[in-house]
Amino acid sequence: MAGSLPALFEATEELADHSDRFAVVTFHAPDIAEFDELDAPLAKLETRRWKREFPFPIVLDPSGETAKRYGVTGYPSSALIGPDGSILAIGDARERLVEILSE
Amino acid sequence: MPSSTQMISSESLLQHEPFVTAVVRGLLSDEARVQDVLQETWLTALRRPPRAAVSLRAWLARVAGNLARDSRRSEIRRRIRERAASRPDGLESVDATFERLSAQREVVDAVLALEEPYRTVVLLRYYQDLSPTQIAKRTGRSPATVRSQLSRAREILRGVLDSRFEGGRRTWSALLLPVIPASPFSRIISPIGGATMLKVALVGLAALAILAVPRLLNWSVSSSEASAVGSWNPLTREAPANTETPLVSADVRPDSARRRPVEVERHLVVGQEEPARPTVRGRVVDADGRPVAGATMNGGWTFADPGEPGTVDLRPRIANDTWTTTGEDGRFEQEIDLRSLPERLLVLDPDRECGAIISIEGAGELEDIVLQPLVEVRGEVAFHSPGRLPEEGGLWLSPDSMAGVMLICFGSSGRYALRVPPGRYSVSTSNDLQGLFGSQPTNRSIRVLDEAVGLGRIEVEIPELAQLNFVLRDAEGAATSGYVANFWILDGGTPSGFRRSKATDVPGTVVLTQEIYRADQAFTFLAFDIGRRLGGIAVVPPTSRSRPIEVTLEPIVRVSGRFAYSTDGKAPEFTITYVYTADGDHRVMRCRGSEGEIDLWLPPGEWLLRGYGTHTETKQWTVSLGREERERDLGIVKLEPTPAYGLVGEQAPPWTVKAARGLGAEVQPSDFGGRYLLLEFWGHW
Repeated sequence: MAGSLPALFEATEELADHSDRFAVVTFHAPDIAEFDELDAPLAKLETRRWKREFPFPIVLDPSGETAKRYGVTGYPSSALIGPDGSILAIGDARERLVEILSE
Repeated sequence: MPSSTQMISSESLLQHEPFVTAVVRGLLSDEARVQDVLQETWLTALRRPPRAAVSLRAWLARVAGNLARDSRRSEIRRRIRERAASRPDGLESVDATFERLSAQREVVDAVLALEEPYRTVVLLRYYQDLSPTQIAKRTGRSPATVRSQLSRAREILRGVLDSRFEGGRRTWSALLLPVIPASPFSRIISPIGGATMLKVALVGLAALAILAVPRLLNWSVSSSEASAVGSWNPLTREAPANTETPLVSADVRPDSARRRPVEVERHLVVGQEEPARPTVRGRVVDADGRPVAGATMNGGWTFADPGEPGTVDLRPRIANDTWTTTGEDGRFEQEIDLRSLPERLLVLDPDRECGAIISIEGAGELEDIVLQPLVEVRGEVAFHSPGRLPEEGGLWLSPDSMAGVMLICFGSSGRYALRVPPGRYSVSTSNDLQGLFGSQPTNRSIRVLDEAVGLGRIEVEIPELAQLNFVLRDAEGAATSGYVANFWILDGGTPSGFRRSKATDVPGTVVLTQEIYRADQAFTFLAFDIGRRLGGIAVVPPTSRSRPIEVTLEPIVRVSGRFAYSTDGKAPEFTITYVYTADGDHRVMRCRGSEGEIDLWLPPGEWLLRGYGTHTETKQWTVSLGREERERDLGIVKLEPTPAYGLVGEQAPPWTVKAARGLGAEVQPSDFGGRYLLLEFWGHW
């Protein structure tokens, strides 16, 4: 849900001092196949709900394969990949990232 | 006003405005509805002030919270009603509403049942609207810990709901998300609670916002949802052919016969220039195009006096500060906050004889706002209740698609009358038994034309409050004191019953108050003696409510075991077990574990168990407990892990990318080597 994004904004802002240590990539659910379809609802969210521009890269995978490979069974969900390319967390990834970088 | 109540001034209320606003904003996402609730909160404070001994601040927060809950519930009910109204079978709407209310109850249960520290952080985050940083300061924890605990709490809540509903997340997400068309779910028999539940429902509704509700890809908002409004009689469950029975002079003519289009005006900007400080400008004119001086524009509530039609002033009253007033030339100019648009306003001439309802959706020059003579609307509300009838009631008219403006008519009798601008409205009712005038949709939509309109008789069913009397007896037939509840929690200790009753002075007798929303509703209760060595189950059919319900208590059986992943034998980080009656219809108990443990206290008999854990599928099985048993060891109960469980520690799978914004189209996880990479899977809905 779009309602999950403000918490992500807040978490990444809190980690601004560590911005060279992590990156965020967002995957939209497979119901959007083209950015043309996403632009209008995204603009509405930016102006009315978030009051800011969406700050992260967006990947579209209408096949849903990526989400499936990462064990996503519902939205929102998250995954954390470590610097060595291994998966560190599924589901509570955002909190794990904050924990790791805050240590 | 009784002397025991506080005298409240507008000034004193305004002192608390920031606080109350914060409370409401924490509960409702839609700013227009936030403003609606705030307006009604002030109205309620002025009309029904708290007792003198009560803290005004706390009282306002409770009122605002209740109203926010009702606002949200009203909107949800409206959508469900509209969806149901589009079906040929009116019976469906009863079930859909009941299932949805039951689903809300499940959320409330789940939130209240969270263990510490999760319960506290959820309440602080979503009930008191504190940020994780604020929660950290208050609780002495680090922000990271708070976030981690919130994440964990959300996971628990999702898991709990997954487990409680047949069909898991697909079912409960559909029930909680009114925009998703109904599915053929199994009926969930569960009552909605009383006063305590009304309070804690706030938490549950706030929880709706935090739960990860999956978007099921083939589901979408019905195109008919916004417009399909029908009529349905809650008593007969039949959809009458004519929904607008006139009391006085109904004038519901075909559109072609109308003198003027009556839909809500939508005022769009016609000018091009945009000043640095955004303002909206325009002119208010009468039906002949003449400027109207002193016209007021109001974004909040108005209401009419109650009483017999013809004996009181039925003209709308401004119930909050006026947004702006026109000058001699009928013109106005008002600074606006673009973030709060669209602004919905009721525009009235100084005599309150003519008006219009408009929606402002941008800065700049508006089209002329044309005031039309107000139209009198009369109706009658008939409350039906097996018990006490309301002492006060109200009628709410809300312009269709514009929940930001409502016209309220309070009254102590069943008859109502008020004057409103021409337009199409949804009709709701309220009564004092609902708690602070929460609105109740009536499945009614009316088109108000240029002559008086009769609303007809609106039937409102109020749930029965039944007092159930239990008599607990041991195996020898002796009366035994104890407790009765319809849900028991055994999280690592002594059973604690949800809405546990208190024993009365009469030995062995327990009295429980239960709200009954369906005449054919059955209830299931589990009883324990004071020492919790004996237990028994009672299924109360609708026909037995007036008689004492005898429950025979027998020695309980301690049921233990341990969950483990089927793949590696490890215990999931979190597990939960729910106990149902053998037919699966009634959930009576739950137990959570942090190391996979199962610990249940059950009377002899056959029970259905459902369990799951972190990254596991749900397992369901049946146990049959004999009367001579005292303990049952379930051993290791294997749970199938979900794909996510096996992923941790593995190399990140590749991505399939059709398009990317902010990244190359060939992007892969390896492109971010050396850094932590957070993937967020989200949806715009």
